[in-house]
Amino acid sequence: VSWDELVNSVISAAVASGIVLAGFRFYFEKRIEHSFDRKLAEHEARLAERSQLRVAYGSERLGGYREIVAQIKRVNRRCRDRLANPEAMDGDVSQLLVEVARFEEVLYTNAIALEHDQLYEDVHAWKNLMQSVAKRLDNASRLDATDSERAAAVRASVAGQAPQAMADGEAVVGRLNELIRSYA
Amino acid sequence: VKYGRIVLIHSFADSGMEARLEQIASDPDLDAVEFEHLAVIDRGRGSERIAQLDRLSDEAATGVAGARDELDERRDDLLREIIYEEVEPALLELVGRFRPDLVLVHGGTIFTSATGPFLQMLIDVQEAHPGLTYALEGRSEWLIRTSGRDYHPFERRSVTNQMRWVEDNFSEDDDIRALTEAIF
Repeated sequence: VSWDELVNSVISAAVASGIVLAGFRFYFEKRIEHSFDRKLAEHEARLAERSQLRVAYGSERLGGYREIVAQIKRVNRRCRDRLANPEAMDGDVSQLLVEVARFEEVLYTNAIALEHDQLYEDVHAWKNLMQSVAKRLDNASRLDATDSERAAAVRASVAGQAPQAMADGEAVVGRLNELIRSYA
Repeated sequence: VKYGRIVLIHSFADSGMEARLEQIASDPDLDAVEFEHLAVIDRGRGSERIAQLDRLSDEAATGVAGARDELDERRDDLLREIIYEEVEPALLELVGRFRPDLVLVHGGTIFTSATGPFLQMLIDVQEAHPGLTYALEGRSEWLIRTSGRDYHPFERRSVTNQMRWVEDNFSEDDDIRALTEAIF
């Protein structure tokens, strides 16, 4: 083997190895790049999904709180109307009872979010208080026919407590509105 | 009146319970029924455990307490002790003295968060005073809510047993439904 042939062989081998190595390097780089791109896309999709879920949860929670605020106002209005006109038709008490029952539904629908914001106990306590006010007014209406003195005593007791109950409701509304403003 | 003497177990002795007592007193349909009341969380008892429970709630609200799990565990332990050490002896004494036809349990926060200890207390009372009727306010809702949740495999058996006990031992008839509707 001449020196020329040997040098040619070494150069050919080196060039061939270089080409193969470059090919491998290109292949692996592309493969790694592709794998990272895929993982990045998956991560971005997950982030977008989470953020959509957060937005959905946030809007649902705010929607729920707005509903609670509206329902507290409705119950307070009914109670105020009834106290202002105790001689009104029985329908008014039924309406108050209906609004309190609606409030109970709204409260339980939003219980987890309220618990998370440490508001559940206060809102629930207000529900109990208003439920009792409505039921006692209903009891007074039923007592009218048989025992007007007792009916008057029940109404007087409710009239003494209801303003505080309504004020408590307004306080709950204030706290909920504060939360709604901070999240919106 | 099918149930003329009723022991009512409330969750909290608070303004909500006071309002409920006035509501019962004002209801002409309940005039023929005698009531005795017992509250699980009654600050008037001067219980150190209840004071600790209040401190835990304050710490949780101000973020002083440790991890959430640890806090829940301490709260559950205190609630269990309150039920076994304070409420059970009082209930046994009350049932022995008053001899009620019905023990009506408020299915609210306390029953939901300490169902196991609560049921164990009633089992103990049942052993001491067989033949007594028990009812749970919101029995159907509790069963639906409890059966609809996912549980850890270790929890499943105890939850199934609780559901079975509630189904078998808490009675439900028209009188109980009418009583529950009038009281809660």
